[in-house]
Amino acid sequence: MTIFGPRRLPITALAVGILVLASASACGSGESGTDSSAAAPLKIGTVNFPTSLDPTVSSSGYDYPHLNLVYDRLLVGDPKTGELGPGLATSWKVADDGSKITLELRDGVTFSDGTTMDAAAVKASMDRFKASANGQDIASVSAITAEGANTVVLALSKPDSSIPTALSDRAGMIVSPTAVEKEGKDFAARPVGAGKYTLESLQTGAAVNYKRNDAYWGDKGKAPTLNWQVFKDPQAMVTAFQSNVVDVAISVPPLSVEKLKTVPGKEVVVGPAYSETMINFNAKLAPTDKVEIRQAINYALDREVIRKAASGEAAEVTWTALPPTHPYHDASITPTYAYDEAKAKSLVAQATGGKRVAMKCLTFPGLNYETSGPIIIDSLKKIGIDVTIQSETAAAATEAFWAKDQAPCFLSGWTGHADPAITYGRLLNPDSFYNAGKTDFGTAQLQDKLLTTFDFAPRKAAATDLAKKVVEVAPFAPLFTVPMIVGLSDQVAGYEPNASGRPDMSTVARK
Amino acid sequence: MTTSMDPSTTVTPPRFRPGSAARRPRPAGGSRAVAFWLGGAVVLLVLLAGLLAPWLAPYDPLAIDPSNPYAGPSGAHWLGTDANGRDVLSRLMHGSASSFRGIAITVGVAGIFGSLWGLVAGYVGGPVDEVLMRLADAVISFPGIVLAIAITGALGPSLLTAMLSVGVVFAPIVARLLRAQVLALRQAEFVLVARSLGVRGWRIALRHVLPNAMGPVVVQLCGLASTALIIEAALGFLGLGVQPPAPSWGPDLARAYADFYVNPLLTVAPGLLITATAFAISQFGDGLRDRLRIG
Repeated sequence: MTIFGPRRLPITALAVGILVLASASACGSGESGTDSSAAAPLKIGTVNFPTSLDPTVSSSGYDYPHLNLVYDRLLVGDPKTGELGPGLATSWKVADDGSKITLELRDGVTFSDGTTMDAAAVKASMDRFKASANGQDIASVSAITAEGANTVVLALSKPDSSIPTALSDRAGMIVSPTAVEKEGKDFAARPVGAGKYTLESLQTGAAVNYKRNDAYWGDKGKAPTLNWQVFKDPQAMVTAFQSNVVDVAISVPPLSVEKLKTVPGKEVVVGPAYSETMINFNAKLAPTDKVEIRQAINYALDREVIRKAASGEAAEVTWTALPPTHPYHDASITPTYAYDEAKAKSLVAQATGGKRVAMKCLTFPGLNYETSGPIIIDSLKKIGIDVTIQSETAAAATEAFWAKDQAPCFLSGWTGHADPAITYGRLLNPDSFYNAGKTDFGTAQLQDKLLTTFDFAPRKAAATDLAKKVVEVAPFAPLFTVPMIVGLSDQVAGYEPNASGRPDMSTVARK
Repeated sequence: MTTSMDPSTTVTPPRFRPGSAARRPRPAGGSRAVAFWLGGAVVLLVLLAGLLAPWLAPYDPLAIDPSNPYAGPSGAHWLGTDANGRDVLSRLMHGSASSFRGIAITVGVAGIFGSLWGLVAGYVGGPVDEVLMRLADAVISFPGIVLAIAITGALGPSLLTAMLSVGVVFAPIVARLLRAQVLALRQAEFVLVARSLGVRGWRIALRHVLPNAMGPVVVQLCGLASTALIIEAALGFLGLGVQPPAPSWGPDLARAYADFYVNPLLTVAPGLLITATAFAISQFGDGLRDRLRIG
């Protein structure tokens, strides 16, 4: 049987015609049928479904745009500069000897379940966080005490200048203790915070919908509802954005920027981010157990070529774990490993006695290695390292590299933190999940100095000293930044890129 | 007086010979004959391109040229270059070998395993047939590609494991077909004669029944080859087959798809080649069926 036989041609043509007309009318309704008022839901496209809406469980930097909607934080970083300001805490004071931090809480704030946000709730929330896998962010907090209704004191086991920043991160996201008790293990599916939005519905892997919290104490969310649609791949998201299925597209692929800029009615905003692409090494496994090999890889990569191939003009080359837009980035120490193939070759020869070495690198889709991978393979082949790249699912690759020591190399990325001590702590501490070989790189003293310095200028100097040492031991090879690229329909307004690269959708609504 | 005979040499059953004088088919109609020959030619061309790629391909499929990404078709690069400046034609030629390797694994497993399965079920019959066919029903209920995704997800991406698992799922299709043929042939005169002369059962099955039952199976295997090609490309597209940067049509199409907004033309060549080759294999299979007067 054939549907295109001569006898069936008129029927086929009719069917095709109907389908075309139906499609056209459907597309048309997407444009004209949408309520253009600010009361309309804001439709947001993304490729990252949140790992969890519970801050104690969340493990991806791409979760923040969701977490920040549901939870208010104790302190909030300025969108432009990252400088800390009041949030649920109206003020914070670090004791002169660095032994404690006293927080004064905002009065009259309630969680979205109607219960009161007070010192007891903050203590319960922070105790819960400290006991979780993410609790290492506030490892130096030895005790949390509620003093009266609105004062919380954090006792520190040692001075730690990263704690205030941690309070503007997951550790400072205050959850409703009543809801935690009520929901138990299901808290992530029915989270309750004091944020501008509440979770309305969640379809695993596909959609997350939020409703505005009209009882919010401050400036309320602009859109009444936020409907996040999760796409399987970035191209599908961009296509949906182009055809008005979504109003906003988060994390647009860098190479699509130029093309999207030519589409009428669409705007593309390339904003800074703390995120960068980097190759992580396991310093316990051969051949990256030898520092010469790790340094050689750093020298062998022409980062300009890799950046351009992977991200076009949207990204910048990075030389340390802190990208150029980070307040603690020090340009005076860059370039750390300027491209030098001859030097790389001699380092490999020194480490291997002139023999070629083989190395398996893990990765997973969506990390921008599809294009840069072949360049990395080619560059390392020239210096005597034969690389094979194995692409796994994100969960499998993460587990295999960070937890199971199954490969010496991971073509990965780092979503970054506002505080350099958190970034370096997570990447270098021998007990950190993100130190694959659990190796002591001999940086503890410099990390301590960074942690115990509070004023910005000397702290930045301490961060630079630490960065120099990290360059020397080369636990990773930074490559290029991952800017936060957001596509916006001309029917929406209110989006402002921020320093952290975590898009805040609470300020965006349809015009 | 009794005479002794060597049973294995006295029975000469009609061997299956496509186009033999006794069963010469009518020639297929004009357009179908063209489709058969054209399909066969395309399959042969693509296969040869893959086998001879190391000598015929103009460039090393892995050689990158970061200074020349997304180049359009030209005298130097007939099908242009990809995001890394690699020659698209060279990659497609080398990728052909990987696709046919996938087909060979799947069709090989389905053909050998399925034939033995169907032969035993059909020839032995009885409870053995019942058990084997219910098992076939169970295996056939698995969608091949879903099983392949599950297995590669569990064991890690690999063309061999993926296509082996697809072959196992395809085997009952062959088994069912062969069983039906064997059931018909089991009562054929030459089988009865062989049996009456004392030829052993396994010998009758393997030497006399199996060769005569294989015609439809060969045609069926052509259809499965076409499906196997699509599955191999699909697994590669999903990152579960051949791993980049090794050349393969599926991963190259996935890469081109990711670059769709930079150079949409890159999707055309691998997409067209996968479609054309799958179509050519199926046309060749249809033609073969006509020529063998099956179905």
